[in-house]
Amino acid sequence: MNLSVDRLSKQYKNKIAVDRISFNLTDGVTGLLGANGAGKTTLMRMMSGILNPTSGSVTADGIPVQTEEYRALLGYLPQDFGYYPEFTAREFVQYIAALKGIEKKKAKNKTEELLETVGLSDVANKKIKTFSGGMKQRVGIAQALVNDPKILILDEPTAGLDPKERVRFRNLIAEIGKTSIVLFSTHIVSDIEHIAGNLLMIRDGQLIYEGKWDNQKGDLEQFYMEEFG
Amino acid sequence: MKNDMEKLLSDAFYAPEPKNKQAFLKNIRPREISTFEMILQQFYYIRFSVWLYVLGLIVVVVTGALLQFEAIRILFTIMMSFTAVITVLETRRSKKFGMSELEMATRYSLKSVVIARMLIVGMVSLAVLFISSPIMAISFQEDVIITTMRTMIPYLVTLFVSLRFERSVLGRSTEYGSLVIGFAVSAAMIFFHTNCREIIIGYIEMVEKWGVFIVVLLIALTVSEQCKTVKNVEEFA
Repeated sequence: MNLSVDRLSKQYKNKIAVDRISFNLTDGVTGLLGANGAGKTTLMRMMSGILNPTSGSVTADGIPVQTEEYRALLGYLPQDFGYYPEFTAREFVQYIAALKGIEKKKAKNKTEELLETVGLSDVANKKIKTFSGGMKQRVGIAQALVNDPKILILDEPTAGLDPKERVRFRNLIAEIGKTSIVLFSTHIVSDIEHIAGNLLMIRDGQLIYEGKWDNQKGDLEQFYMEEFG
Repeated sequence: MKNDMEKLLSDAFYAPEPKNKQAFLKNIRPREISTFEMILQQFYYIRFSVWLYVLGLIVVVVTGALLQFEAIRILFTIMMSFTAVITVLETRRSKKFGMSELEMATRYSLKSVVIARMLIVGMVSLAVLFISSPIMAISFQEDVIITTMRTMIPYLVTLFVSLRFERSVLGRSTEYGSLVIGFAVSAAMIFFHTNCREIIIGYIEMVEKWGVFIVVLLIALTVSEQCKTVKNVEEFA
């Protein structure tokens, strides 16, 4: 599958949040690096079909982002997300599965499998409102994976996870990246430097780096600090 | 003996590990889901308190009507106005609890979710109206159509005003604006009922003469507001 972003822009009154960004993604993990306010979330929201671009387009093998067909391929974890107060972890994942059009039985099995993967099967029947930040984030990760997405967009997915959870999550993402397009935004270089085969760096809404990072170019963390520090 | 044979066979001809199973599964197109199935899915996610309110309304109205309790006539109209408020509040539930972004990124989009919820609560409200009104009418020896229209008009007015208000700048920043509208409509009805009998009599006469026309007009206006609400739901999310 090929995910194509073509001259994508978003303008809010006097501010250009994303400025004519173009790139192509194929299966594998792509890290999206940028400081806070660089335009990462705006870019990801447009790629998820949540936000209409001012200009440009996003297509997956020619399927436009605005279509149901595109959304059927998508898994998305927003930076901040809420939940209905009556939901347990299990109900939350099953609800998203229902909205993604997954059959009830399949959704049930997949929910159990994912809650096990993210280490929440013991508390699957507990209300999300009783969860810690890290646990909520893990529920969010589970819902993003419920439809076995071909395109997985994760906006700061490691926020709130402890170091052990971070490592486990990185391994999970690396595994998913073998058969899917994964776009993973962060401002923590260590989150992606070992799993991302491809890197995108964004500053003031513009793409300043695209491609593989090899050690011949120097230390990624140092480069990042020089560019964004 | 049979079990031994089964074990021997399974040991001799073990199933190979599936190759590229995940990649294969991901390439299967998700099945089509009908609008009816989509609405049914949302049916299970309507809050329990909504069903409790509706059930309570029916119990109160039927009991009051059977006991010929006079105040039940105004109470029924007030409770129906609050059913309209509940319908409107259901449309902004995603935004209130921060679920909009997730629901927008699913296959059916937030618009479909809001349409389904509005449809479910709206249909339930109408069902309650059409069940309770004949019971009220028979109990108080009135015309069924007139009783239905008399209750339906404040319901539709509350629905229309609330939907319009919720899309306004003030409505989008106020959490329970529709509830205030519900209280205002109810307070006005109680006031006229207790202090201005002539206005109530005038209202009943107006319903008898122009009721059908007023109801049709209000339905048209409300449907138009509902369409605008659905059109703007993702923009305002």
